[in-house]
Amino acid sequence: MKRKLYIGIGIVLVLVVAIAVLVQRKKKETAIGIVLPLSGSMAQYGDNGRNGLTLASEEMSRDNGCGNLTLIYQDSGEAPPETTSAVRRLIDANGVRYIIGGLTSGGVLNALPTIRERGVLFFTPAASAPGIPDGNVVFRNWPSDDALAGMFGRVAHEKLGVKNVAILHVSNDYGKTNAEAFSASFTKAGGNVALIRAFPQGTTDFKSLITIVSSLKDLDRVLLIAYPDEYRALFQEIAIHKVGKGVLASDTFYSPELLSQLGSAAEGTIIAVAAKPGENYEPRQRFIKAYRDRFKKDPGLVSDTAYDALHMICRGIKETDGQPRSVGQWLRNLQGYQGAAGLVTFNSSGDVTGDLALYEVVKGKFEARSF
Amino acid sequence: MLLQHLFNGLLAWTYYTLVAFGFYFASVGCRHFNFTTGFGYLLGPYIVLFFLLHQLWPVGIGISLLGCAGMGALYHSLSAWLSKKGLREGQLLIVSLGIMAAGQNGLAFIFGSTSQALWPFNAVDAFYQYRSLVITKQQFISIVVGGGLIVALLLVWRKSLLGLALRGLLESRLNLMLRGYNVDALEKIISSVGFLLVGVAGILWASDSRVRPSMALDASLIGIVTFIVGPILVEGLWGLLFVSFAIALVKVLFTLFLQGDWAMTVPLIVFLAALLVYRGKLVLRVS
Repeated sequence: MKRKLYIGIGIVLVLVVAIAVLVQRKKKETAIGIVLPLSGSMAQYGDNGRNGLTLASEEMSRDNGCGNLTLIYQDSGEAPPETTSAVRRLIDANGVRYIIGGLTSGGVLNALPTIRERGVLFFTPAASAPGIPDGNVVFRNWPSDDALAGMFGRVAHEKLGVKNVAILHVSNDYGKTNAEAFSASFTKAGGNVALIRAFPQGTTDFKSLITIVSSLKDLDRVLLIAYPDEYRALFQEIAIHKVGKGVLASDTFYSPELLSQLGSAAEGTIIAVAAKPGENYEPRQRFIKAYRDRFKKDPGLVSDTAYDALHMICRGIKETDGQPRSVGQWLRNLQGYQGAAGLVTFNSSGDVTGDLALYEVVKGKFEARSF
Repeated sequence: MLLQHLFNGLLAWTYYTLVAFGFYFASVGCRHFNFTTGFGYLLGPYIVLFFLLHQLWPVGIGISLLGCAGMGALYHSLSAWLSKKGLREGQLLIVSLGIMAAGQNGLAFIFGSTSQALWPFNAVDAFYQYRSLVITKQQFISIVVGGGLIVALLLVWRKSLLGLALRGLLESRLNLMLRGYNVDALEKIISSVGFLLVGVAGILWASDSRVRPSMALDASLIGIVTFIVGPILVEGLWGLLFVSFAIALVKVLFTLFLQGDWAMTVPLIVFLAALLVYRGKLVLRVS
């Protein structure tokens, strides 16, 4: 009887030791949660981001740059609460301490209380509303909307000669911030905003709204701040009713896939995006080449910033004790990191500054426009 | 601008009236208001879209219309069977809501949750232009087909055999049975016609604008408000026509002067207005 008991205790001990060893091994794995819109109207941005992250993780696996790296994906869909749910699942079910993602400002703002409460490090490669990063555990490498839209408003009036504009924007944090910043600087520069109208995300019927805009007298251009699904519906109406001398669009328009769907309706549209480094900047050229080799297409919006985000977090983990706050401290002290999207230096609130670049749709392609 | 807004309102009125008629017929046929009819609003355009992707759109329209009518007959059989099993109107309403939601999710799974157009942009040509008024080919077809159907239903339907059967069903189902009519078959046909009308509305709407899976709820909201409020104004199809007009008018006015998308809110505003004006009648009807 006693012999059986000893054997039983022995087996239990062996199991406990084996589990402990496995857990210890698992601890050496670096799990990074990824929250991206993989379905719905923002899915093409999510795919761009996923490709950038895939490329970065493959490079790091080759170079052994981040230990045993695992990326755990969660779909954030379209609605802001879904980002919070995805973040909670990653923290509670998967036990991650670093999260990259949250492409919409509304989604990230919704998830911020959870992120701060749980003390995980959150790095967004696209959510651009002011007030998102804090420089402790929340960072981003995408310039703030109010800065870029403010520059766009001034440039539209002073360099593009737009005097009278109408603004149609999606009614969320992204749309509101962009519309207000553009309107303020455009008016300050001497321009006139004839109309500002908001519409809910997912609107498919723009008949009345485009009728109103097309009837505005002496309208130079209409500024559209939306997502691909609404752009498609808006341009469907713009193809029928002429609106001023053309369209201005926010950075979400910068998508070759969307452009191919819109066809000639989008011709002449001018888009404002955060400026990227030129051809002499080697890290970007290296990234573009690797991306083309891997995915047989050009990188899209968010591909480069998501790629940089993963590289930076992994370096931070490697060079610190790996605690989220230590990695946050490391990021804050980072000076002139040579990323694919450009040189990155975070300010005290975890934000980056950026310059404006303009593109014009010419013969179905985005062409850089000087100003 | 006014002409264009009036035309936009006329288009909306056409779609809403077809939806209202469809829900009315399907509800009379199935003997309860049901949300599954709203799924017909999606089924029509998505079947066309499927065939359009395979360059077979004329076949697609035929199959789509058959599919909607078949769905009406199928739902009638299901609801009749569930009624025999003891389910009451409220429970059937929930079942119909579940079918609509499942249908929406199924279509979103197959086609994606983003909106889709039935025509490429370069196929949207102006058919008629006068000053600021632009009418596209698709809109012209919508007005001709939709308006033709509505006029036919209002003027001819009453005198047809099916029209008489519908009125007979509304007055007394038992009376029809005693006279030897196959009431079950009649109900099935009327339910199919209802689903078919909603399907036509969906196809016309999608060919003029865009379609996305969540739109079944918009159609159902119009269906339920017109179904409740219409008969308070005038019995039969004319009441539905007036309520559809009110919804289209309020939507155009709201979009003209206020921010936002009023597709979902306007039917509720019309319902609330009716509640204020005809409170007694409305409570009686809903109960």
